Amino acid sequence: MLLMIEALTKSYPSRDGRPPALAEINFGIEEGEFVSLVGPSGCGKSTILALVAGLIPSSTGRITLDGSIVGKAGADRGMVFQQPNLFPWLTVFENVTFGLTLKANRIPGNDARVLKARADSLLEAVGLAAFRDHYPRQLSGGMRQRAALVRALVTKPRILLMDEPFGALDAQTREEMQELLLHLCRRQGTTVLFVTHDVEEALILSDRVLVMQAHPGAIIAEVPVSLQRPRHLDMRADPIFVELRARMFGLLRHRVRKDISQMVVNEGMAEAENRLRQA
Amino acid sequence: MFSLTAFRQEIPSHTYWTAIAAAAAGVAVLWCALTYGGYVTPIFLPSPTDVWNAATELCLSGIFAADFGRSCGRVFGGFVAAIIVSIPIGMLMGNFRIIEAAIEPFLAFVRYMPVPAFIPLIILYAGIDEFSKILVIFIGTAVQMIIMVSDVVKKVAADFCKVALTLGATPAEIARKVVWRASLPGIVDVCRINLGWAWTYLIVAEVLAANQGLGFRIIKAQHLLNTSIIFFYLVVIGALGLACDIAFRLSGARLFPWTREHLGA
Repeated sequence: MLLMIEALTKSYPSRDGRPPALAEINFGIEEGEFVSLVGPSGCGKSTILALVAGLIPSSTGRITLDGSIVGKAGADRGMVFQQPNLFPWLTVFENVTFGLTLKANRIPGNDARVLKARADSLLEAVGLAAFRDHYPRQLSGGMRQRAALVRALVTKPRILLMDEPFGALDAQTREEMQELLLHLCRRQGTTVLFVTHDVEEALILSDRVLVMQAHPGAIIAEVPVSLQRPRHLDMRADPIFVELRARMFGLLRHRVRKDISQMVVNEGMAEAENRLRQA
Repeated sequence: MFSLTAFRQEIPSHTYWTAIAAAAAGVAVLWCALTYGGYVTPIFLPSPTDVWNAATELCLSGIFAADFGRSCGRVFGGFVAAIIVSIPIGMLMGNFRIIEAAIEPFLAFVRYMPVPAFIPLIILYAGIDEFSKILVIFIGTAVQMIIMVSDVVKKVAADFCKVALTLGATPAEIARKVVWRASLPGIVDVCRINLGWAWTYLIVAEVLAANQGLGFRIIKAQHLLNTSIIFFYLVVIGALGLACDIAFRLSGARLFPWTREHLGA
């Protein structure tokens, strides 16, 4: 296993004794594997990503990458956010090579010239070669997100973390980006942990989909996707895909119904407590 | 077709500039009519000819050059000192909550004290030489600038810092390569706004027993009821402020092309 997550929990200090954001999370990712986390909003899928990235500390449990415990954020775990967040004062090329200007990435064996050439070839691969010296605001939303993807890949991360990266894009651009990501991952052999609330997106991209529930956030099912590779978007008409999609919707719907009934129970409890206090 | 009185609509730029020219011409015509027409006494409102004569006399005698040089030196001295002090402190306040907690309430308290009220103290502490005038301008601008710079720094998107973190940046690298770079246009704008205030405090500063300077000359002219000189110097101060403002805006657009409204695709 490249990435191992064991007994990971996260709770935020609160007065009202809310359930933890993440109950107990356990899963692993093999080298070169593409795994998605799918679930309703508030299920903690983005929290898992932030924990792996090292942006927030966990409450308990451990995360290991290549056998060593991950600490603070670092370039070994590349991250793509929902918003491209390119630096507006840098050109596209300067943005994607920003990581190379940092001390942490100037390690022996990392030849800056080789990595810059890699940046150019990646820009070429995502169709941004002609926009190398443009500023981000001169690009469309999809182009910006492609640049953000290249920026995360330039420093050769061991794993790529993607937090609803296509969530803010229009439907057509979104499909283009999915195709592009499939192509890039095949070429680079990248290991990806992908967060989305889009079931179809998760299925078409992933080797495995982890389905989550909310309150508390937990993984309730693991769905291996047996569609052959290389993948393309036409496979959404494949009987395997159709069946998996139905199964996933079933899992999510069931959970939502349970969440609502749970909420009713909780609110009933609060009401009862209120009455007790008044008495 | 566009309408000139359209509510919250763009108008063609030549129309915009024509309106500016028309308004300026209107003021000039009104001025000429009131003064040459003899409707007001010259002591209240001197005619353009009077102001022109006063101006040529002051320029030829070298008084204007001396006043101008002195005042520019004072504004420059006080303002540069304020920049040197406020940028590092503002950066620290914007990046470290503990430093903000230590400094911000004190500055928020001081910023509401009118600068002229400090003058008796400044005379007491710093005497009446050149330094005291620079000090007035420095106090007037530095307090505001520290708070404004720290605001600019605080507003840098947290997401930018997160991106840098996931690429392996240290806090020092984030401060230098992300926060500083993202704040620079805002900081230049803070400087632009405060340079205007520096000129205002100049007049305040030159009330302090000066014997040269634009503000000093205005006060002296007031004692002699020489309104022509007052008008000439007011126009000079206004023009100077406007020139500085335009210079700041142009250099901002040049230094930070990425902030420009239209870059072209």
